[in-house]
Amino acid sequence: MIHRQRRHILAALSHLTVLTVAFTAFGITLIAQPHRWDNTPAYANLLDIFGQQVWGTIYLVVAGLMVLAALARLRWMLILAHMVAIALVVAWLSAFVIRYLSDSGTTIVNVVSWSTYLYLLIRSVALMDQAVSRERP
Amino acid sequence: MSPVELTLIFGVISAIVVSLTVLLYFVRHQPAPIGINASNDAWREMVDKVQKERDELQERLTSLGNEYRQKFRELDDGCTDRIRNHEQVWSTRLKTANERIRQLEEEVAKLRRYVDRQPPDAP
Repeated sequence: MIHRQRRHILAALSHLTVLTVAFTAFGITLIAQPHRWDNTPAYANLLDIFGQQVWGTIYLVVAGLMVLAALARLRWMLILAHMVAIALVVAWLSAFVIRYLSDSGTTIVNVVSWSTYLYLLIRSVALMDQAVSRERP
Repeated sequence: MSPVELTLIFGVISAIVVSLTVLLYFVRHQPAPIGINASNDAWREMVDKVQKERDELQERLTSLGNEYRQKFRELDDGCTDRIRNHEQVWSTRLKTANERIRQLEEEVAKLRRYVDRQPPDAP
């Protein structure tokens, strides 16, 4: 029973860690290497709405929120951080869906990638919710 | 409507809808509190459950103990009775055998006396 709980907590933490690392990487590269993002047509619509610095800051803030929530192990904070992350990923996913539908020169790769991030986020919040609720209801 | 405007509108709406749906789901579905740092109520519930289980096991153990003792007593009584019966049977047989030995010894003694009375050169 304890072994299963430990495995569950490890799974929850690994999901959160991977997503936080990914968000941090997006944030840092958006701020530090804006030209790379600018040169990739897939992100054109998104970069028309906000600049690289703004998106980068948003990604870093979300990653920071997730780290804080994981450290605090507060259920409401974890749900809130994941909710913000989900909103961000869904917004980007929508952008890729619209780009895929409106531009025949683009591939479905980004749609699939961000769908996977969305799935991982939902799974992460579900796993963390159970792990944290077991510790502190 | 340009793709950027579509992205903005669709992105904002879907982000709000999806994230609020997720939020509502997790607000309404809280997993049962079990584990190391569960609340006092959860602990009390767990302790009650374990105590109930322990009481049931204790009751079962007492019942099994009584059953065992009863069975042992029955077997013990049965064995004692059988030993007593065997003792009686063998005691009777021994008495009978001793009686028969005594009779045979008397017979032997009688025959010896008879033989001793006969002259050695008698025809």
